[in-house]
Parts: sequence; C-alpha cells; structure tokens
Amino acid sequence: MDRIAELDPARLRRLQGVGTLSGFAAGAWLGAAEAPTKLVTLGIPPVVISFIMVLGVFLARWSLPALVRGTAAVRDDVRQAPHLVIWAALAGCLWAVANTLTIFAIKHIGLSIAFPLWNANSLLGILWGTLLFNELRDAGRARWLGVLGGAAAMFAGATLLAVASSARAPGGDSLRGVAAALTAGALWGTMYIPYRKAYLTGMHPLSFVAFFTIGELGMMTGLALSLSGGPGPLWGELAKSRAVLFWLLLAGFVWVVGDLFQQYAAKYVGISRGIPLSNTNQLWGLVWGIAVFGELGGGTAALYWRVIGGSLLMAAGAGAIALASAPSREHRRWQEAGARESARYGVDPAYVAAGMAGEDARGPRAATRRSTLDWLLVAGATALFVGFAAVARVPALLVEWRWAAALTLALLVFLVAGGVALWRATRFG
Amino acid sequence: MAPDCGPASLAPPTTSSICYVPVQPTTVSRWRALLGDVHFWIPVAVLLAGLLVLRWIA
Repeated sequence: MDRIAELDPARLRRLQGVGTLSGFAAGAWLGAAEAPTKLVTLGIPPVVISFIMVLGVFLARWSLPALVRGTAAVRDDVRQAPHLVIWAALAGCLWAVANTLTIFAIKHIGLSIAFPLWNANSLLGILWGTLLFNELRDAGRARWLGVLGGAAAMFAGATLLAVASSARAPGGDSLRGVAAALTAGALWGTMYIPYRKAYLTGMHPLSFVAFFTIGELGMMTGLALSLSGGPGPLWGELAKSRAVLFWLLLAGFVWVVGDLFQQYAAKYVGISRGIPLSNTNQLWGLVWGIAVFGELGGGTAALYWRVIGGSLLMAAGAGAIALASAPSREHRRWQEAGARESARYGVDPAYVAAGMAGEDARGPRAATRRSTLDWLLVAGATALFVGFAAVARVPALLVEWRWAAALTLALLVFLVAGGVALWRATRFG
Repeated sequence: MAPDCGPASLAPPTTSSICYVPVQPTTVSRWRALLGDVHFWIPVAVLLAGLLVLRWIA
C-alpha cells in the first residue's frame, strides 16, 4: 500500500498564506480584465470581444508556460495524469459557455445586476468543495462561520452594489437576462470541480491551463461561428474591428495573469475559499468603472452610500474568508481526497504528495528545459501581439488616465508580491 | 479513513513524516475510471444545461 505523507504545519500555513494572497491578486487582475467590455459602447459586437479575448488568452496560456517551465514539463505532467487533459478541456468549455452567457446577461439586465448574480458561483463552489473534495471537513465551527459568513456577506455586498446602479439597467428581457446570469454562475461554480480535481492530483497549474484553453478556444470558436452566422460574417466583424483587436488581446493576457493567480488560490486554499477571494474582482471592476471611465457620475448621495456599503461588505466577507485558513486536520481530509484520486486514476502517490506540498515531483533541483518549440511559441505569440499593436488605435473613450495609471500600479504591486511569494514558497509549483 | 502513523516511504523532503494517508491503487483503465467517476458527469450535465439555456436566450 502506498501512502501520502501529511504536511508539516508550518509549511501548511505558508502555503495557505500564499494561496490567500493569490486569491486577492486574482481579484485585482480579473477585475482589470473587465475594462475592455467598455468597447461594447463603441459598437463592437459582444461575440467579437469575447472571441478575441479568448484568442489572447490562448496565446498567453501557451506562451507563458513555455517561458516559465518549458513544454517538456507540461509533457511530464500529462504522462503522470493524462486523464486531466479531458478535465481541463471540459473546464475550458464550461468557461466559454459561461462567458458567452454573461454577454447576453449584460445586454438584457446590465452589468451591475448581472455581476452579483453570476458571482453567486462562490456559494456553489463551497457546496462542491465540501461535498466532493472534503473541504471544510473537520475545520471547526469558527472556520465554517468564517467561510460561509464571509461568502454570504460578499453576496449581500454584491447585491447592494447591484441595487445601487439598477436604475441604469438597459431595457431588455429581464427573465432571459437573469436566467443567463444565474446559468453563467452555475457554469463557473461547477468549472472549479475540474480545477480542484487537477490540484488534488498534483497537476501543475501551468500545465492545467494549457489544456483548459484548448477547450475554451474550441468552444468559443464554435459559439462565435454559430452566433455570428458563419465564418464570413465573423471575419467581416473582425476586419471592421481590427483597430481595437489589440486591446482585446491584451485584456485576454491580463485575464490570464488573474486566472493563474486564481489557479494557485484553488490549489492552496481550495475552491470554497479561493472562489470568494477571487470574486473580489467585482470590487476592482467597480473601481475601474467609477474612477477610470466615470461611471455613476452625477449620482445621488444615497447611491454613493450604497456603493460604499456594498464594497465594505464585500471586503469584510473576503477578510473573514482569508482568516479562516484550513487547519492541519482539514488538510488531512484534502489529502484523503487526493489519495482517492490517486487510487482511482492510478497516479503515483509521490507525484500527488509533491503537488499538494507545492513541490516539483521531479525533485527540488529539477532543471527547467526550454526547447526550440518553447521559443517558437513565445516568439509566435509575441509577433501576433506586435502585429495587432501595429494596426491598433487608442479607442475613443473618455478615460481618466491618472486613475488608470494608479490602478495599473496596484496591479503591478499584486503581481510582484504574489509572484515573489509563490516563487519563494513553491517555485511556481 | 483512519490515521496511519509510521515510517515514511514516499514522504517528500519537506514533510513532517508523522502521519500518512493510505492509497489503495486500482487496476481499472483510466477511461473506465473517468467514465465511472460521478464527479465527471456533474460538469458535463451543467455544460449541456448551459448550452440549452444559451440556445433559448440567443
């Protein structure tokens, strides 16, 4: 009988801290990636926005892993747990359908109402985490209260933010809009089942996202062709929008950085804590909307108080969850879930144990090997970005550049803090 | 699953080497393991439901 060794409590605390920081960094970066949705106001079709963002995501998700670890490491991971390729592609399909649904939700009921509805995915994440992966088992009442109470406070805060701007919702089919937003939340909440499955089995986040994005781009291409009326009309829309396609690709890149942090959060603090923490992206999206794009300008004092109250509630909820980190006895239950996966799919327990401990199964001194293929991937992605940048124009949007610079600086702070913490604790493992 | 305390055989270098979670490997093929995993069908069912809702809305 093989066995998976328990983690040292100090090591566990360190990994939990890194996971929590990753969750907050994910919120900041994912929130910033929402800014390009403003291009809808310039008449760019939503499907084009979603499709090009996903293309940017695809480029980033193959070039970043190639640069950081090399595709040989991705191949090693696939050899250890080949079944996770299917899980990753399935998660990508879920993401693409959810993202498309959010476009319809925004169209019918507006971003401010739709956002908190699909952010209810954190409640579903807690359900799946507890039910399927032993999260919060043996965690004690205080931590249950911290996570559930925090998620509930975040949901209440999100709803308050929605009410604050509901008067500005566009006229649309509210039933379809609400159905689209709630279904997107269900898809996104369920998408974390494959995430957790992968990380309990020891897979590296950079390997997982590389296959995730194949499902994502495949499903999104199918949806874009279907919703645009075929390849001809889709190509026509892309050609018409070529001056802003670079900004959408860039948004996809920003989104990938946020999602990578989200993957590390899901890995080290689980989905019941990781999803609510990364859902702080709503707060960041709001700050970008208000400060950079001048949304809610000229509102009443009551409106601003609701926004402030909702934001504080969300922040308090996130704080409660951040403080409710998993104790050793709960982590042991996670390891039991990992052992179950190891046994079911015949994955080497040493590989599973190393992954859960934030270590490289090939050993602490495993060299990063980069092949010609890796450099070709990085060069190809860079060339595409440069090509789109060459024909890009700054969109005709009113932007408060000082605020944009301040928020970009905040993003960089999160990137450096999160990146350094992950490197020191896990070598991006 | 009861705690199993004893000497480590697969303990990574930074682990405490105190208690271990046992793993009972199976000989079922990976495809069969995947298709027999109830966890797999939950996202599949949600994906199909999402596509149906999308078709209705679009």
